[in-house]
Amino acid sequence: MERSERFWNPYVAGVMLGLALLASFLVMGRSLGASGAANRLSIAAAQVIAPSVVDANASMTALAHEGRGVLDDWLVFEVLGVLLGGMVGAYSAGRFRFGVIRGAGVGVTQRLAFAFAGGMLMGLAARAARGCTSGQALGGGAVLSVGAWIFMISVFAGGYAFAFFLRRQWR
Amino acid sequence: MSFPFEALSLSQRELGLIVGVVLGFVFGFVLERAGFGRATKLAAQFYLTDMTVLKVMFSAIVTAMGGLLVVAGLGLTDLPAISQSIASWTWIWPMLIGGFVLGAGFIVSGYCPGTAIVSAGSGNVDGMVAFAGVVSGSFVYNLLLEIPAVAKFHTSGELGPAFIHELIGVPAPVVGVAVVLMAIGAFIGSEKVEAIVRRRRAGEEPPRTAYESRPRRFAFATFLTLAALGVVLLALPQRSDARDARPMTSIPSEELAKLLIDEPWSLRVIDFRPATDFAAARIPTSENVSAEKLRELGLEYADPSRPIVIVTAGPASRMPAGLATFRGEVLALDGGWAAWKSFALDPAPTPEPDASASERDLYAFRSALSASLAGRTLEAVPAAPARSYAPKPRTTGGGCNG
Repeated sequence: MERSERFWNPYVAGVMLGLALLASFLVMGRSLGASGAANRLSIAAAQVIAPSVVDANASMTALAHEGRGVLDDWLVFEVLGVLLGGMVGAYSAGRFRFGVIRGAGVGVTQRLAFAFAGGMLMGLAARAARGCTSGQALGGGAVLSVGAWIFMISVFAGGYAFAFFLRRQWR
Repeated sequence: MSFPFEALSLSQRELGLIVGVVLGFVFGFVLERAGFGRATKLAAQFYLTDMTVLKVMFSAIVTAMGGLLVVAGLGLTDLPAISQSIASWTWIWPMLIGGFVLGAGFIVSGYCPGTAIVSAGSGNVDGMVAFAGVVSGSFVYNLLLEIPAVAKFHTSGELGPAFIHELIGVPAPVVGVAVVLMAIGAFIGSEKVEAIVRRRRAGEEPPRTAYESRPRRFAFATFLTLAALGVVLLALPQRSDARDARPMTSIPSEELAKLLIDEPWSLRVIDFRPATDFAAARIPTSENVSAEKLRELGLEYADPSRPIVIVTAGPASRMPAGLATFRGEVLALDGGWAAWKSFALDPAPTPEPDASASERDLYAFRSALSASLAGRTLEAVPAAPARSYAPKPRTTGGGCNG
């Protein structure tokens, strides 16, 4: 197997991930997350491009006018760490390179269009579900939250339901 | 109770932010090493060729859950309080539908929001584009929330802080053991599925994953040990349950309204409804705080002689965890916002001609209230003799320490 395709045993990786999550629970009293930071980033971008939109929107002002900058938040710093961790992980494993990961069935343009569209769906969904697979499914799931388990089962259901229609993309 | 370190969110906030970067770094590094920076590996979960996503997710959940149950069992943290601080409230419909849509987005983009960040960090342009999509999607949802129908969907099926073990009424470690057993079943199942699919594809391409059976057995042994540990935990007294049962006195809308007029300084009203609902209509003097932000108010330092009244959309089921540190009295608005709206904002039903004096007083009070709060025209009390409203001297403290 090629060096760049060598990954950790999934169970070992899972236990390590669980320990990081547990540390976050015990030290900070909160879960690791991702989508909350994306929401704050969107509000910060809107403050620069169209501040009037932020002022007219109750959900955005609720986060924008907390007395601190909208990006001055724990989750934003945590996500910065995730980005760095991904970078160092890929670089030290010899697989850091600029490129587009895609199945053999699609071209670069279509792949990027799908990545954006899928990302957009996830942005909408994560706001509705109050979190994504990190904060809601992993964090909420580990503390046995009812909503987190409903969410997690739904994520797998949604993935399998649409997998058939997208099989050419991932062939 | 030692964990979590509250100060990291308050006085030592900067240190807490550094801890955030460090924890995030570990999270991102491990995700990358698991292969989660690559869309093709993640998507394979949904074509049954590579079940890494399921294995990693369930191993992580079982580890964090088991660890937390052990720490709570040893009395080092308060399980209900820390669980409420970690998990969001449950809203059934947005979480069910949100999950389904997120799953669809996952298979379309090849990432979930967290792994898109890892992928972007690994230099993959598709990961960067997917994350840009997540950012735009969040923005669009915030815009959509201004539509009343969407706002209604956003808060539909509210259960408040809901946990499986409380819902079915068993100790948390029992559910913990069930989750571990379920995870082991899922692991064995996914190994079988992978083997079947691999055999069917033999000759087509070399196997993607070839793990030694030794670490796998080692991992299974660990999880089984955890399950056994959970059984031992059952023997430990459930010390944290008593704290959780701290009662909340309820305050009727009428009493709250009178207090807010007579002594507005004597109460602090915290409204947990979504910002959009709060912006549309609110109780005078109230502040809008999300359950997640509650800890940041530093309520353990707040004046305990000033009770806190909590306002939720419907009747409050239980006290939000962030309030456990408040030393004063916590009151729940009886019937929640719905009850306040019908008492103070909706037009009061006109009293019958044979209504008693106190019923007339109440009507006068309510119509004056809805005139000032909802901008309705002030209706005269029908059937003379018209009387002016005179508040009766309150005989009880009304949960307000006098």
